[in-house]
Amino acid sequence: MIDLTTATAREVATNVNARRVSAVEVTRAALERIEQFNPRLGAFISRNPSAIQEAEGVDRAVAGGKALPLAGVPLAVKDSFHVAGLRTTAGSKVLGGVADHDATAVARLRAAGCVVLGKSSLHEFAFGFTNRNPHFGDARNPWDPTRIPGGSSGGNGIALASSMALAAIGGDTGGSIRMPAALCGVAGLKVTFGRVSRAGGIPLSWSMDTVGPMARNTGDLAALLQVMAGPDKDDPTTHPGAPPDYLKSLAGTDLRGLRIGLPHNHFFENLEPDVASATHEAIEVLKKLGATLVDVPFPSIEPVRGAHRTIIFSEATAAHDDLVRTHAVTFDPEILRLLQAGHFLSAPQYLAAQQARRRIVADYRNLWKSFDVLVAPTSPIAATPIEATTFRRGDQDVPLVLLYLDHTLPFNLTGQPALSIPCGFTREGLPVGLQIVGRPFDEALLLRVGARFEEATSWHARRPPLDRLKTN
Amino acid sequence: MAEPPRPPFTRDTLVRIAREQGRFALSAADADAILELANGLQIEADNAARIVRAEIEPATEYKLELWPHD
Repeated sequence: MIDLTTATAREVATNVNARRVSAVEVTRAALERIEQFNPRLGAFISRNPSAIQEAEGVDRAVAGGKALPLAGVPLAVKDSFHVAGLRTTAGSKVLGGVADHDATAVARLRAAGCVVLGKSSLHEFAFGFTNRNPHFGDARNPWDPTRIPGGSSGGNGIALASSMALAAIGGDTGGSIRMPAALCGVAGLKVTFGRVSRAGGIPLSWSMDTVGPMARNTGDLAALLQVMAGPDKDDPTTHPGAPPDYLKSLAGTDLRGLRIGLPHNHFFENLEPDVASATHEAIEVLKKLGATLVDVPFPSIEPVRGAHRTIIFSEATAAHDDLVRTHAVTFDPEILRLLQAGHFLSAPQYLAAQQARRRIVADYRNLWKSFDVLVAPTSPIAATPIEATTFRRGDQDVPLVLLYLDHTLPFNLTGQPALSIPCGFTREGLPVGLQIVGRPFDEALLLRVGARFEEATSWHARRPPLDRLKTN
Repeated sequence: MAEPPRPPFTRDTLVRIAREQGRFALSAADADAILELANGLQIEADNAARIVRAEIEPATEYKLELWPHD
């Protein structure tokens, strides 16, 4: 039998394909863990009542001689992506219709053998980073349930860390894959804009939304991305070229020849001390693996944050204006305000932000000539208490929105790929994430760096102590 | 020369804009809550615009340009 607390998604697929274990057995084990831990952690909004039947279909296909790259892998799907036959809520009571088709990423993973367990929890309309949700209940960090899991793909982070699922589909517009990955101690890949189809997803910001994989290690991310990536006629923003062989790109033994950019200003200023020490130790590991370190003076974050906020608020208001007008009272008042706020930005302000964005893309393009990947903490702080809205730094209370998003949102603005992997723990036992950022469409390099780091460390193999959270 | 900062929205202006646009009803109480957000966004938009204000760019249709993979 497969132990979900230690297994990788690739091991599950290998064993199901070899008929050493059935997809049904794996699915039952995952559903049992959901039964045990979901009531206390809030990873899933809804479950797939047909999960066992889907697993039986995978077993039949395997028995019929079909090799499926992700046979029997238990999958969580953020509830902003359609799964045929299940409700799509986007974490809101405003939506909730039953989808009649799969999002493209879901369809591809299902065709590869993944079994959808259910729809994972998120911040309402993915417009937030805490995964607090008045409609479906607050999501909780499995390492400390009094703290946030990060968001907006927080349900995925919880499901993976607590071994309810081994793979997940998330969305990232400002950090929504990387943040819960970092705070829950799992791996998440924000892909290049255009690498994975967004078709079948509820939009937040059309020009910055991305869909990407979450898992517990970079090898599994590579296996998932291999299936998810590629052009899609239903999403005209997808890159027309075929994606590279991500699994093959994992090969290698060291990082000799790799130039790592270290942005000491902005990304390394004002870190929580334990985050700083974990990050510096991680950088030492990368150096020992043969990488060269390059100091990078990073451009000011202010115009980047300004452009990101102007664009995301304008586009979110544009996307959901009808719902706001017809269902205002059904929204969480805080989210309603966020969705209304775009009305107070003008068209010239939005266009200026897009022009600024082009300038920032050009600046980063030049910057990346002196190194191959940028490395920095995914978040300057670990998971904060659920009720917190600020973080005490020296004699100042800093709004969490500035701390949690400033390290991640620049790469949604520029469209670059960024990986977050576990790189240590605070003294309180909370995970710390390492962000590795590459040139557009260079996901393969990020995955290779992540794979080498994981071979040299064991942070990705740690699991939260969950026994006290069992409900049966 | 740096542009003077634009005057912030007031509560009354905010309510008027929301109602004139016919987009949504904004009560005075709601206006208080959204005022800080809307004015914060004005500062953010100015921060973004500042880096392009110095040059005249042609009005081109927006396209996200990523540099070629090499």
